[in-house]
Order: sequence, then structure tokens, then C-alpha cells
Amino acid sequence: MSETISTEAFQVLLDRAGIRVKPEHMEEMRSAFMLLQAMRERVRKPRGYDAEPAHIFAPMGR
Amino acid sequence: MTDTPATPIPIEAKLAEYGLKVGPETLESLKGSVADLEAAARTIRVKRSYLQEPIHALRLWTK
Amino acid sequence: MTGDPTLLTIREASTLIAERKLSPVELTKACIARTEALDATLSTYVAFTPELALDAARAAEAEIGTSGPRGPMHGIPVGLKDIYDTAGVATTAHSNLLKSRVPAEDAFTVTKLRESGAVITGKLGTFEFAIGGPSFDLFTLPARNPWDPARTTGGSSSGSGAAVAAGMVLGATGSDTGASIRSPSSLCGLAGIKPTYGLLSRRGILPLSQSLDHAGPMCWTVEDAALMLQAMVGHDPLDPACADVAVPDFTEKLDETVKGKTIGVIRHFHETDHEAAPPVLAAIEQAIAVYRSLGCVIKEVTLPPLMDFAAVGLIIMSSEAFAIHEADLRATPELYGEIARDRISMGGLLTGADYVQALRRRQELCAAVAEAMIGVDVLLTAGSPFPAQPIDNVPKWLMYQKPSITMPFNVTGLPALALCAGYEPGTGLPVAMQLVGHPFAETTVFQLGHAYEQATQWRATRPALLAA
Repeated sequence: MSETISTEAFQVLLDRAGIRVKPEHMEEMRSAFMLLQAMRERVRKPRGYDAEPAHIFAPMGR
Repeated sequence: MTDTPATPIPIEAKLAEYGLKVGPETLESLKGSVADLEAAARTIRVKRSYLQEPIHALRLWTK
Repeated sequence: MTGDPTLLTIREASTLIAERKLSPVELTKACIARTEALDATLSTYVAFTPELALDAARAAEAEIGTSGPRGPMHGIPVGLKDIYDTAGVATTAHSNLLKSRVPAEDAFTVTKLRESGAVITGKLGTFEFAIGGPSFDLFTLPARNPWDPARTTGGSSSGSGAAVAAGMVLGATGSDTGASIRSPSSLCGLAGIKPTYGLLSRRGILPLSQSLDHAGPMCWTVEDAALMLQAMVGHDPLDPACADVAVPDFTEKLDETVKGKTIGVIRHFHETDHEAAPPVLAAIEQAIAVYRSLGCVIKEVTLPPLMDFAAVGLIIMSSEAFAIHEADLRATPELYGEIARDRISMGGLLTGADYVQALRRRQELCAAVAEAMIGVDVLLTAGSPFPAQPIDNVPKWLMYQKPSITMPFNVTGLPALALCAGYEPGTGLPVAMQLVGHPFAETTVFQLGHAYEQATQWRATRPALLAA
């Protein structure tokens, strides 16, 4: 996962989410997203199939 | 503003976003699958109350 | 009584009320007068409801006169962050999107507060939807810090922080998804607790991120926070995260000795991972010395890097927040202020896999912290890495640039108390520390916080604005 993203690729993400960003905020948002990219990388690491998420489904009558 | 992006996003762009690669032979069937997934996603995007919770929660206690 | 009743703690006021030496109506009128004098400067309230408060105060006074107080909150003026639903009174999240939203029911915790006899004075300003602020493009201005009105209160429970520090109320509700009780408590010089995840119901509180959201009280002292938390607690089967656990008396250990308690100092959080400002570092060293003098055992604890907690928290928060807001963000983005809109929109750029990977990392972090806390009663680190910043110069993407020092305890759900640890030389701005306990061990957190307050003089100082 690259920590940089082109203007075009960033626009793809915005379109996918259905978000319109004011032109004057575009560069600032793209810069912030690059910091988020680093965080996306940080939560990933090789894990076994048994690595569960922190949230569990609590059945009725728990 | 609508639920559907103004310009359809090329599937190649989506694949690139996820860092995935597929051969030309699977691209057509993938396009169909993506359309199905998008239709499914639209069905779960309904107006919800702020009170409506997701089914998962962090639990720090045992009963 | 003589003197200014708005400067009383909840404990002091409730004692005087029980002894019939202070009238709830007199106390409420004093809080109203203080609000009328300072609200133009501090912009604390979104909706101030003095008539409803006086009605509640008169009812409390009549009941106390005939059958005595229900408990320590009876007749005490408190404010509500404007994300707590109030039946018949608008609850807006400080957003134009919900400007005319009037709930039919009270939030569970508001019901509990009313049952305790607390006098509700109105709805306090917040960062929009508990994430966007300080914002100047909403329907009222952002709250300002009573210690210096040119500075931010911190957020998101901004009006709550300002109102308690300014003596407009004796306590206020906050909510905390990454910092929102502890940041304004730190920057406004208060005691505010984010309790264990699941201790308080979140039903009827507008959500930011359901798996990180916590409700909690913000007060002048640790003891007051314990008293107010007691009034808010109770199992709510309609909140799927609410824990069905026995509730202790949160004040029961306040006067017990802390000798022999072990405090684990997370030095790398405030010294390197997010290096705190010099006055904060000095205050923490002084606090450690105070605890040592009280007979506590001090040890150093190493947790995973702060950035790991920040990444998990930010990805979960952004994803859950976007899920809540995506329809409105697409349909009417212009009804959001710029900061809330842009911050929440970021969640739309993440993937389902990002969210699940963050949940898996969350599990690992919970386990790592639990292991590090074996043999430790509480953890200690900074409450905020810096004192209050100028209100017109708060970085919009600070949480992306620097890891939050409060988020680890939303990620792990552990009870975390922010309390005043002194004042910055020169500016007089409050600095603060955090004490973090084991799950549902709020009594121990309060015990150690109270012991520190009793051993120091910080609670004797109020903002100079109040003397003007």
C-alpha cells in the first residue's frame, strides 16, 4: 500500500464513496489521506487464520 | 448528490486501489460480480435512526 | 450561606443542601446569574433553559424540605452536552443538520440524572457530532476556555469543559470517542472520567462511533466525578454494549490510604511517542513524586507504540462515523460544518478490510495492555500533551499528524480519568494527567485521583475570569 496517492486515484476513492470535496480542500484532504494510508499499513501484519477481531457477536440472552 | 457516482469508476481503477491484479479472461465476469455487489450495498443503505446500533460491541466483562 | 455557591463542589453543595443551609433554588439562580454574565464571552450553551432549571430546583427544594435529599445530586445544577437526547428540548449535536430535531425521549443517562434529582440547566455546545471543531461555521460559536477565552477548550465536550470551569454548573455530561471528555477536562482544569466501555448506557446519545463511544461526567474534583458517575450508572438492556455488572459505591475507597498501590508510568507515550510540552512533563514528574511520597510503588510500563493505538482508533472511528453519516453527507453535505464534513468523509475512503484489520489489531492491543497491567493498579500518562492552543489555530488533522494520547483507552475500553496536575508557569493554563484502571475498577482510579488532589493545592485556583 503506497503512502502517496495521485490526484486521479484520490478522485476515484472520493467517487467510490460518493463524496464531493470543495476544490479548495482537495489537496489538504489528499495530504491527510496519505497519513491515513500509513495507518492502514500499520494495522496490517501477518496473522494466523485464528486471529479474531475485538468485536464479537453477542447472541440474544447473553 | 446521489448514491451513484456521477462517473462510473473503471473496474481497473478499483482493482488498482486494492492492489489486486486479474487477467483479461476474468475481467468480464468480475464486472458482473461488482455490479451485483453494488446492488447489494444499495439495499443495506436505508434510512436509519441514530439509535440503531450495530450488532457487534466490544465486551470487557464476562457473565 | 455566605460566599459564592457556584464555586462549591458537588460534595460541599450537597452537604449544605442536606443541612438546609443552601437552597437548590438559590444555587440554581447563582449558576444562572453566572451564565448570564459570562456566556457572551464563553459561548458555552447551545440551548440554555433557565426556566426549566428553576422549575426543577423548586421541585427539589420542596421534596428535600419534606423528605430530605434523594442523594448527593439532588438539587445540583448540571449541564448536558448537546448530543444527549432530552425529551421536548432540541438535541442538535451542534449541527445545522439537526437544528430542529426535538427528541421524544430522554437518553438513559439523562433519565438517571433526573431520577437523582439533578437540576438540568440546558444543552452545552460540542464539536459538531462530537468530531468537528472548534468550528466557526455552525449556528452558534464554539465554546472558549475560561482560563483564557482566546484559547480552545479542547473537545469535543467543549461547552461542558467551559461551563464547569466557569462555575455555570457544578457538573456536566461529556462523551468520549477518542479524547472528548479527557481533552476538555485537561485543558479546562477539570476532573473528567471516561469510564469502562459498557459501564454507562449510550442509548439516546447521538453516536460518533459506536464501538468507541463512552458517556461520562466532567466536574471540578475527582470526588464530584465519582458522585456524578454514580447518578448516571445503571444497566440498560437496550444498549447492546451495556455491561450487566454489579455497581460499587464509587466513593467507597476515597479516604483509604493509597500506600502500597502500584502506579505504572507509560513514559514512552508522553516522552517520545507524542512528546509533551515541558510544563506537562514537569507536572507529571511532580505527580509521580507526590505518589511516591504517599507510599505508592512507581514502575515503568511499556505498551505497544502510541501510533498503533491511534491507527486502530482512527480507522475504526472513521469507518463507523462514515457509516452513520454517509446518506446525509451525500445528500446534504452543505448542512455540515467544514471540519466535521471533511473528517467524517475520510471514513468513506477506507475499505471493509481496513476496518476488520483494525479490529484484529484492537484485540492484540487489548491483550498487550492487559498483560502489561498485571501487578499494576493504575497506569499514568499525560492527559493532554499540551495546554490549550489558540482557538483560531487548532490543526484540523492533528489526530492524523500526532498520535492521540487518550485514544488507547477508547481502543481498550479501560477507565481513564483526566485530572488537573497544575498550571503552566506564565500563562496559568491547566495541565493534566491521566490515570487508567483495570476494567470496571473505577473506584481504584478515583481513590488514586482523590489522594493526589488532597495532597496538592490545584483545586483552590479558579479562572481569573471569575473574579472579574
